[in-house]
Amino acid sequence: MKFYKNILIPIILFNVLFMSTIYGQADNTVAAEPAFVFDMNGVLMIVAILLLIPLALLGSLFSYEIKRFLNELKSSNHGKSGMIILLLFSSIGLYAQDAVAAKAPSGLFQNFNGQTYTLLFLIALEILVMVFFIYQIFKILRPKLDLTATERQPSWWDKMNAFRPIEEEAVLDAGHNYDGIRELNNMTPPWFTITFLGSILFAIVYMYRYHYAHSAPLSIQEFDMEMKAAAKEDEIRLSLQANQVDENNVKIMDAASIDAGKAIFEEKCAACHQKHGGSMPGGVGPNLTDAYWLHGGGLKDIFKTIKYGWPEKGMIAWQDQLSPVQIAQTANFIHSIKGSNPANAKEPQGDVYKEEAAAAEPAKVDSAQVKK
Amino acid sequence: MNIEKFSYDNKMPRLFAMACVFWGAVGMLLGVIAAFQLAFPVLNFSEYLPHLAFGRLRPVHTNAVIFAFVGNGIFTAIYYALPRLLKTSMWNNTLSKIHFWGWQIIIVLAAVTLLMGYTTGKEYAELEWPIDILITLIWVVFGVNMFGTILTRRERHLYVAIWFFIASWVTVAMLHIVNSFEMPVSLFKSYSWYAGVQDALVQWWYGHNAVAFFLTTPYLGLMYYFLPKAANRPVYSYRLSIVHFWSLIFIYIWAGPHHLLYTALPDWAQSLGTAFSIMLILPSWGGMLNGLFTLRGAWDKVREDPILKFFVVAVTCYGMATFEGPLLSLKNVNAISHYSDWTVAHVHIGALGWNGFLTFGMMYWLIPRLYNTQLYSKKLASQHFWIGTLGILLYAIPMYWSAFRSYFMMKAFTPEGQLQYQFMDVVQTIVPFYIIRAIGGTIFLIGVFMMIYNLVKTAKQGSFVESETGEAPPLEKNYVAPSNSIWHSFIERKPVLLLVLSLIVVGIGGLIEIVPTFLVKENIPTIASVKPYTPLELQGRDIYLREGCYNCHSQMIRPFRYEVKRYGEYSKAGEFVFDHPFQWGSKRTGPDLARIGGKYGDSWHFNHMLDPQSMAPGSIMPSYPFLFDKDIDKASTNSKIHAMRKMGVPYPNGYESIAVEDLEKQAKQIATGLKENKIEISEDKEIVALIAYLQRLGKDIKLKK
Repeated sequence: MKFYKNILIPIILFNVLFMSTIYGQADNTVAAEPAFVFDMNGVLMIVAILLLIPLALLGSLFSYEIKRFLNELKSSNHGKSGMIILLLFSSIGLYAQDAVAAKAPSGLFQNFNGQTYTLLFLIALEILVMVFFIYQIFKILRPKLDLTATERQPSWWDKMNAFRPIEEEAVLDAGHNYDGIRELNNMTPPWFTITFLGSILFAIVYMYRYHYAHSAPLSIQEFDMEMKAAAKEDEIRLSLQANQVDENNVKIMDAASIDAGKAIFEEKCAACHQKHGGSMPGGVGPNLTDAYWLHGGGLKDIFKTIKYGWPEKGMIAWQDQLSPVQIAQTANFIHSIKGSNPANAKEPQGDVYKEEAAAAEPAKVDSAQVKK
Repeated sequence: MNIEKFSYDNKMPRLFAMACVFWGAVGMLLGVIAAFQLAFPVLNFSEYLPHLAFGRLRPVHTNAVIFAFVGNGIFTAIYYALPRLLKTSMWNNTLSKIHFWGWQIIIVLAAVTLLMGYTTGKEYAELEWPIDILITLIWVVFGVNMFGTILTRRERHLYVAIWFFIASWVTVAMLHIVNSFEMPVSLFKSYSWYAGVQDALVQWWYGHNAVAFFLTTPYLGLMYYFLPKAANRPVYSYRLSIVHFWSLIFIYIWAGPHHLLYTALPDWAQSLGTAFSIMLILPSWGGMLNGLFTLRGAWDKVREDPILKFFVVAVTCYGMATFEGPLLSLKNVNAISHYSDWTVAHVHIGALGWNGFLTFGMMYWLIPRLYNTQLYSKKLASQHFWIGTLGILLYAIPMYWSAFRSYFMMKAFTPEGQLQYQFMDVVQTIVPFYIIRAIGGTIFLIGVFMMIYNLVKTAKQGSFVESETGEAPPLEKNYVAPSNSIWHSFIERKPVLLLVLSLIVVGIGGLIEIVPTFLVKENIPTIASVKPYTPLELQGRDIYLREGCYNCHSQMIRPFRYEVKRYGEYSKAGEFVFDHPFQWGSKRTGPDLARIGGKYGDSWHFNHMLDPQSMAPGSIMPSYPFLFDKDIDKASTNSKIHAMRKMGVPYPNGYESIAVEDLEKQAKQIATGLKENKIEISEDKEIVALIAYLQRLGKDIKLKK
């Protein structure tokens, strides 16, 4: 019965993992996409399902081997099952290659999402369980295999550790006896001593480089280098970027841009302003759909408010999280919902805003303070 | 030669063993609950009562597993092995009893006070000053009893296990006393004597070496006794024991600063932490090699015997964890792992694999012997082994995975140079991994219950042997060492010398790192604009400590582009000079708070503390509704300011008498501000103080810029 449990456990785990996949995916499903795309995740899922076949085979072989082992303790036809195991080994090799191949085209971790990771984890787990089965099967077979083993020459392992044959143990006895515990006086493995000395050398070189030769950057120097590199990238990008939009030149944009702004708004702004932008009675953010504005209702004002925020009132600055274009799109969306007056919105705050009056007014002085 | 008869007491080892298993199950159960809380915030039950929220529960879990489970495990081993290795009885049975019951009282007091929110806010040293004193007393009782036993021995030389016990005892005493310097404010409230960077250094010198000298060296002693016993093989290399014992205790103590890489700790101290961590690999591995090579010639037994299986995996986990640790101390690796789940996985390889499995192996070996019987079910023990191994894997692998995943998300920039992901995106990606981890922990715990059943059944089928008799001649007064004995055997004959040498060896690293950080001014450049906390902020900070916010939130922005973009200017050493204790944290389950001040409005914080999900959808933070009912403990303001001033925080003379006035003024201001946002709250409530503290964080340096 134990072996059926051993097969059941992976199946239960599979279910649990699958549930977690769904959990992880729930927030970023995109409705418009087709139900199944044959992408990396698809390949991985197929691999994961295919792996269940050798897994089940191994599981049943495992249970068969154990039963056989118990029934015919002195049987001698272990060669046959050995072949089966070897075959299975090679098949695992193939599958493992599949998994690696599926991973390769994605480059870095760019295309990975929760599902990918879960699937990779699942495949790793399946391989692990298979290794466990194989190990167990070999364990059952080994006592018999050992019978045929002959006297061996010292292996690389013996040489590496400078092992002395166990028969010579008496020579090495340190002569201690503590509550029946004896001690040998084997030499420390040569690689141990060499690596230890190597690590000491590493430590000396490390301290020398960082604090004497100054040939390696300390934390803050590293930071300065990183920021410099980022600034350079920024410069290159900005020079290439045609749409250098800011609060002084933001324009009314098309419907597609307003839609993009709507998506951003619903993701980032709805926590305080609700999805419809009208906030709610007692809500945190002000109502953005009425005629009353705290910091001006013109497109440029809205752009500025999003970009720099009004931190003392709870509106955070978004310039590090949204690109100028995204801010422009969001500002356009907010500008577009003026007067939509959704149900259950927040009461008015601030002054009535008139488009022309603001256009004549120069930019407000206090925004400079908010700027870095 | 006259042979003396004496007895080996089995009652104390049995008591300690029972306590070890009991607290182990409790501690791990709390761990499982805490693990599920991270995936399902409703399990914090903070809507109903404040005691079980993650911030309070997690310290109970860590303290229970370290000091109750492993602590009692150490004492089980010592009370069983020490008399037998020295051919004598434990020195004083009354001291043994005081030690046992004293330690259990400490554990109960610790659990109760931590759940009630009495904490110093320093990880793994959360217990308040009266308990600290009690620990010191009991530790002395234990030491006296151990040394009494050693000095009345009938075995001339000390076995390697005892070297480790002695070094552990003296180092833990030193660490505990130095790190627990604190200024009491009331019976269950104190402030760390040290502040900011210095506090961080001392704390991680302590924290790191609590791992070294509580979880590692005593358990090496345990391994050196039970592993050769269970395998019935001689210890592989006496020479290796000598080399790795001294190098291990000397080097370990220096490595503390690797917990503070890329922080405001002076660079030279960080580099020392890294350099010594790398040198630590081989001394640590010495223990693993001596353990595994002792099994040479007994591997056929490992296949049959679950006890040896436990030992093999334990020693292997030890080897893995002590290789991984130095790896994590390299700055480029630490940049990924610090504040992440990698650290959590790393410590659990050690705790579940090394400490857990070694303890289980010891129990399966010891309990049948105490009851003069065979183990009730070898098969069940074997199943425990496999289920435990599966539990460890299911625990660790998702945590490694989530660490890398969150790192790549955290540092991702869009082509436009903006951060690609919000902190919340990362949290939501990681939650599934938390679920798998919690399942792994549950599986491990199930194994423990299987063991308890097996051990109880074993005890029932046997009959307890209260004591065993031994006989040996007393030591002769005039001993002349044989001419061929090696120099080290001289130290093995002199336990007090061994004690003193150990203290000197472990003292060096600490002194060289800590003393300059306190004395040399350039190490912590002061910033003129950094001012002490106002009384209300101080009260708010104490609430922050009480609720254990540091368990999930750091206050230390590292100098990386993606951290500076996300959290603000990187943290400077001079910003923390009034932080008694420091609150840099070690794990970011939530975002860093070093510069949270002014980022959101008061009303945001108000709503967020009441219902985090309303302000941050998808958040896994517990809610804190009780802060809106409880009044600020104004009466304590006077003594808190006084304590701070005594430690050098520059409040004006006599400020104590007007502190409450200032507190009320600031509270009123905040309450009025909230009222403008249509939020009604009495200015006496704790939430007001907490908002004051949060809004202050990281602002000093902005004023200057």
